[in-house]
Amino acid sequence: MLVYAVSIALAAGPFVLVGALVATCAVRLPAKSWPAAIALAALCPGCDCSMNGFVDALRHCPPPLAGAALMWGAACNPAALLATLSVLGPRALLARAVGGAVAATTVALLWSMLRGAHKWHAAARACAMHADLTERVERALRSLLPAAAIASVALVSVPEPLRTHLSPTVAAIAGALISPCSTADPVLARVLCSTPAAQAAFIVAAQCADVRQIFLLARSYGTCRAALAMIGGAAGCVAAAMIGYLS
Amino acid sequence: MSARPFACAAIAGIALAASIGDTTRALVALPPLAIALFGAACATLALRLFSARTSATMAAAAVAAIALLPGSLPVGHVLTRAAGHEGSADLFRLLDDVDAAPQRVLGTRASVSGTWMPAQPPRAATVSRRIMACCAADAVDVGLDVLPAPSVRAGSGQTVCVSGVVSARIIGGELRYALVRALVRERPCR
Repeated sequence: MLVYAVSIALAAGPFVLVGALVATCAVRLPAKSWPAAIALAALCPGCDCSMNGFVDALRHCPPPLAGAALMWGAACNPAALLATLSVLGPRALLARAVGGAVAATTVALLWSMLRGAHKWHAAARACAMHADLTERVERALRSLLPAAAIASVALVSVPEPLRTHLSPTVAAIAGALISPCSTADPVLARVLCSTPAAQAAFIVAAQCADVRQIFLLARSYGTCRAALAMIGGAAGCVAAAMIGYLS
Repeated sequence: MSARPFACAAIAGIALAASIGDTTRALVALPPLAIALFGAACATLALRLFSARTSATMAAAAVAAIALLPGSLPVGHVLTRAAGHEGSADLFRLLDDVDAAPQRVLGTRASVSGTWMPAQPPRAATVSRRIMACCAADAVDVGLDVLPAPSVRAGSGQTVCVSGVVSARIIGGELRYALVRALVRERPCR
């Protein structure tokens, strides 16, 4: 179990560092440049792991938009889309894109209904504005470690033969707990899941409803918004699985 | 807010220790140099707020990593399913062919190279290759069962060439492909 947790931390760490470095530069830009930060999060995050370091750059962005960008960027960044097309094919790519869009839209809608919808989690905002690179990396790593621990427990606990008989629902739960990297989840989906629906549910859950994403959102936007994001992630999984059933 | 960089220090120690030897290759897909640079960067960040505790944390993490982290990981449950992994390995090509057109491949003779795992009842012997896209947590071993288990001198984890007839069977509801009437050589296939 220790080996899995350390491997997750070592693999994600460099991307977290890069995300924090970009965020440290981005926070120096004027507040009016927040659309650029949204676009960067949604289109070029590099990897879902880098979001842990990058999230501070979204401090001036309306939280509903930031939440949507984080959801979309985690599930549908260019590297993840390319890996999905290569390993699982165009139908899975469509399912991933639809699932990511549904998750992002649902999160934006749910967060916009909250009172104080346009305010950052107060403590997190203060940290984001005044943190230097060391503090940013430290917070990101501390957010990552519990997710790594949960994923390693899940990997050790689930009997190996069970992993080859995953229904869409179980596949989604497995993806959420294991929380693999967005470029690795297509390979895992292909070997662990027999049906397109299960594969689609796995890859969307692995990025939109996973423990890593939830810890990130809870740290930056509060527990309530993180819980709503899980609902958005679940909606994305359902949409992706339906695309999988139809293929 | 000021956070003491203990996570930074700990992961810096682990990364620097893991980048020595084969530990990095066993744990992550990134090259050892990238992990070493990452460890050095975290160490630099942590030591900016120099304190005895930070240094001690880093050293303790490094020692623990050297003592506890393995240089290689054993073969786990082998999946006999195509992974869609682009690679020139004969094993991956055979699994892709079986996945695409099983009736054309079943019953034919094939040779594949991979890591040998002796039979451990009820598990059959296997020949497999590990696919690690990101880290050990998402690594999977894909390959074939080898039936019947011939008496071979190859030890667990050794690279072998296995030749046999491709067949399929159902084990516990799972479709598994195997090489039967197998011949095992203690070297990669040429």
